Amino acid sequence: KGNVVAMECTVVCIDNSEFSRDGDYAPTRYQAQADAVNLLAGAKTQAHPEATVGVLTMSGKTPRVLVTPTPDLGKVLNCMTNIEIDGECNVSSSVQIAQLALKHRQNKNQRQRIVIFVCSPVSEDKEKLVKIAKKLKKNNVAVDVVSFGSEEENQEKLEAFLEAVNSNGNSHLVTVPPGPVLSDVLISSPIFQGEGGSGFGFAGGVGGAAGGAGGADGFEFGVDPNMDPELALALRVSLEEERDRQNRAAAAAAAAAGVAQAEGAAAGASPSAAEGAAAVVGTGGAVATPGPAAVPGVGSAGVGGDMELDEDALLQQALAMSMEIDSAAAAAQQVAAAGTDITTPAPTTAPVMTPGAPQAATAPPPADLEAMDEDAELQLALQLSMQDSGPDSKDDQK
Amino acid sequence: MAKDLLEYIDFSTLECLNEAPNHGAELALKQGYREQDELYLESDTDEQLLLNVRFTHRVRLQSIVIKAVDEAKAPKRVKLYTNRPSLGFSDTSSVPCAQEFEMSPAQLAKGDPIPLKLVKFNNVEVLSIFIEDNQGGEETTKLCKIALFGTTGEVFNVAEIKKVGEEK
Repeated sequence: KGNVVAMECTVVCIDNSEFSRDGDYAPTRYQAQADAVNLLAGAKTQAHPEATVGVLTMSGKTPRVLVTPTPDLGKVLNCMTNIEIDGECNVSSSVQIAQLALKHRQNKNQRQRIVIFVCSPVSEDKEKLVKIAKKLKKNNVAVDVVSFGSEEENQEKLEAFLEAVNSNGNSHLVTVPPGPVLSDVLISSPIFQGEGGSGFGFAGGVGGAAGGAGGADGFEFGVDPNMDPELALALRVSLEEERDRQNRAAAAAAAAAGVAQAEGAAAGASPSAAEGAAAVVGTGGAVATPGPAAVPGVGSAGVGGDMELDEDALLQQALAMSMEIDSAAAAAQQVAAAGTDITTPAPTTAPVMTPGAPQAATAPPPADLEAMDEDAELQLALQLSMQDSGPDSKDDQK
Repeated sequence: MAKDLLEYIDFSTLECLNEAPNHGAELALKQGYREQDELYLESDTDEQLLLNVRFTHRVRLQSIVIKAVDEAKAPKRVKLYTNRPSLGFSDTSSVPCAQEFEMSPAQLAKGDPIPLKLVKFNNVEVLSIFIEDNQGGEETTKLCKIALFGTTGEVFNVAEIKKVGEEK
């Protein structure tokens, strides 16, 4: 028995500070981040039907939970369109709130994970970060950190943080220098590949063990043969079977892709190519990307996106994959609907926010969160997010 | 008659907060592992441990055994909670516990069963074992065995019924 694909509840923390306006990661740090988050949410919800993803923003008057963990990818994608760039990040409070949100997850069987995007200098000192990390580890929360934009400045602190929070390889720090597309780098990183063995295959099962090759070690050794030999053996066997299936499927998919690409243009699952591959990957890829191993003939058949892929190849890849999965069709439509919202801000660096979103106007002053009662904190954070979603301004874009 | 409830423990949902890698709860609970003193459960970032043990049937708990060979790191204050799935460390101060006790070095060394207040442990589906501190105030807590004893009244086993009849 035992789950090969770990069911997780993930809270993603977004850096929407003023630093995220910078265009050193195309088109802006913020937008690159948003694309990555959309992809990640898609990957996680695809990996397991009961996986949930929540989102919170770290900057502004106070960290805010935009959406509490939900299995509904549409909700996650929707909330990404309402974010205001403002202020500086408060990593410490954000992590506390994320931890609360995880604690209150509906399905207690889900493992807990926080994914933090950092593209601004972290103000907390190393000791404080390590203390926070230890508390997370104590409560069995795994953390993935994506560091970009201020990588050098933050490196030492984040490494210390990771070391303190990491338990048996369940946590990762991915540092992305300017240059490659942020999402691309992340797709082939452990953050997308998942904890060993499982990877994030998609519903069609073609890329079922996409993470299998790359992540296999983590999970297999996570289930130490000492502790549970039958389970370890079962996992090994199922991994082998999955690899076989994957190889056979890749061959089959190569044939299917030829047809898929022709139909791709009419799919409407992605906006015009002029928007750029990053945006496309953000939409079309949101349903299909993780599991590039299943992509026919583009780059290597191995695990992990090939960073050298040019924009056209990426576009074809995303379209081919999104065509192949029936069950992703519904998600694709959601993505298309949200896609126009997501990609519109691409050409602009102006604040990406919905007019009239009641900012923390009615919220009490952000007192020292550590002094606040834990549940009162969560109430506050949830209240703020409720206020915004109440008037339903999400659909009313720009 | 109280029996070892090992077979009713659902290991797939077993959760132990703050366990050290490679020194997890299975080593203290599972058949074969728990008998070996060298295979122990140890805490990680600090001295506290919180196990959430789910049973496959509702059980009536009668006693608990906790054995530890490292005297200084052996558990001291233990609090038991019933039917609170996924209890967290922060909950232990707000949720009332069903029973709490302090273990003595003698009990730990011999693995003496600690009797439980039957009324509180009558219908247990999830048992949370919170180890608050250890004997020597050490940074980590170590223990090599946890065993739970009781009965599973819900299980309809004809053979069982016969036996009880015979005992009477």
